[in-house]
Amino acid sequence: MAEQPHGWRVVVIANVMPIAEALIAQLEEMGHDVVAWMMQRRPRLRELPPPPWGETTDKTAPQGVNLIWVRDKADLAPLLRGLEPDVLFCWGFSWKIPQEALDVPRYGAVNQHPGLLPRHRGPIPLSWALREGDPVFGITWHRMDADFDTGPILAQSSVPILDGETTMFETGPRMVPAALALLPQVFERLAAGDPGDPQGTEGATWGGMLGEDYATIDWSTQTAREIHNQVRAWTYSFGMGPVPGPFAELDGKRVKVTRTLLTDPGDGSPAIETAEGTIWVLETEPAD
Amino acid sequence: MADEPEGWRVVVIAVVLPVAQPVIEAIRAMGHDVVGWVLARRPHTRDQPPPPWGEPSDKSAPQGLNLIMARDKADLAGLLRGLEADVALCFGFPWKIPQEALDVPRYGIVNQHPAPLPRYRGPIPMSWALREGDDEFFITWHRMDADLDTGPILAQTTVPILDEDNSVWEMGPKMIEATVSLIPEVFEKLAAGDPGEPQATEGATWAGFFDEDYAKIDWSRPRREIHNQVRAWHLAFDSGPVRGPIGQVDGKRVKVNRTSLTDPGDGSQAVDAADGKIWILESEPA
Repeated sequence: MAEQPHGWRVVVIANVMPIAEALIAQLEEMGHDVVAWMMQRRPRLRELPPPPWGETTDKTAPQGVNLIWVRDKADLAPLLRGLEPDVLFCWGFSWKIPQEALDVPRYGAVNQHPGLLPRHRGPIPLSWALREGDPVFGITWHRMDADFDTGPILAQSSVPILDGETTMFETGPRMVPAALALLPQVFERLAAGDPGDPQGTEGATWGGMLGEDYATIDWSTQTAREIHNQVRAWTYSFGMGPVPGPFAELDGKRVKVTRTLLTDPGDGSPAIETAEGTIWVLETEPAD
Repeated sequence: MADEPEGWRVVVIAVVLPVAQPVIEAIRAMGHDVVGWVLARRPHTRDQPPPPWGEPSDKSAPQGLNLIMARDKADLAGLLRGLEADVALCFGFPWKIPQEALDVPRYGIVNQHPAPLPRYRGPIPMSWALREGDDEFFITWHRMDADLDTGPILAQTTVPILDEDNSVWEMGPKMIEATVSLIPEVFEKLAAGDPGEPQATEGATWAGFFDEDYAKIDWSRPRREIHNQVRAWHLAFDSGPVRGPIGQVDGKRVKVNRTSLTDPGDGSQAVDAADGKIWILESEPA
């Protein structure tokens, strides 16, 4: 059994506070020094309301780490050099990190991708797992290379997709601990200089943003499960794509369907007969 | 006349948003790249309400720069190296910057201290200018060395203290404007390798936090002296160990936060001092 390293200088790159918080706490628990949490400056968000967990500030962010909001990916390499990291952990970050930056940490840079790589590469792997009717959400820690989600795999796991789960607020708390549980294995392999298992070309898929071809629900030709997955696929893409969806006719009106269930919630939500099975529509928004 | 430098990578080290913002804008207007704004993490303020201008965040901070909240002064050198700074400007920062960090920027680190250095070194120089009855505030830009407020002086100017300057909201903008106006001279000297004027060894004083000996208002004193006392405490922002200034008003002990030497005409209470009336604009139970 390989040795578990201690006392590494770790930099965390993540945009979402609950993820960064959990990862930082776990890394500290494992005896490492999280020297910095880096996130992107995001001028586009300036006019938007704060996320449900609030703005990230000195007061709300985990204590004891340097907080760095990076203005541009070209700044990453020098900033990292200044932090002298042993390893870089990336989890939920939308810039492609330049090779020059990936080369800085002594033991390399690893990324958490919520897909069973090489399946579901791309920005919204959870949505694609739902769209494809997968039984599980995947979790992969892999070494980062200059392409998106292509580097050698260090550890993998998965959590079952549950019919009753409709938002990331339910799924996240199951996936985050599963990802953190893999960290000892990741550190062992990094410390041992293990290059990781190259991703096969076999079974590789790349899923981009959801488009028009997936934006319409047809109650009469799709099964209840297909529709339930479609609604969740859109929910789990966080409105990041070029078009909104999914839309359906409901009582003669065109609506955007935002939440469904395959069992009767017992709250009077309308039930709709599909090509196969019944689906309950819990939440909709006007289409325009 | 020395050449005006251009295109420097400049880091601003400051903790107060309305102070950092105009400095950053002025440096950009001079043709430089403000690569980073460095703040101090302050866990002890965690349970305090946000400042009136809001918490610094991605949304509230000036765009187009790396926003850095340093966890410890020992991290500053590495952070400055990462920013590849040509120069850093420090302007209201709670930590003493270690020599290792001072050595990073090619042209050094300069500090703004609102005082006629070597007079009023320390944390509350403007408060001491008021306490001493000065008729002007000073602004000094100086090279930073390993001690507090002791480095060679690059540029100085003054801002008159007016009776109607009742709060930081009147005094602050004037100080910032004067501070910013000196930056071209500071940069020229840095570009020319000018070591700056060493501070005199004579006349150095320490502007430390106020104590009990200055915490009570004596209404039998001249009204301007009391006005200065109130303003001196106001500009210390409750950062010291003692609260003040406390005065007896109508038989009650109150902490007097703002006063005026003229009648504001809003029904504010007037108190008779040795040489005339002083109006209490704001007070709280002591």
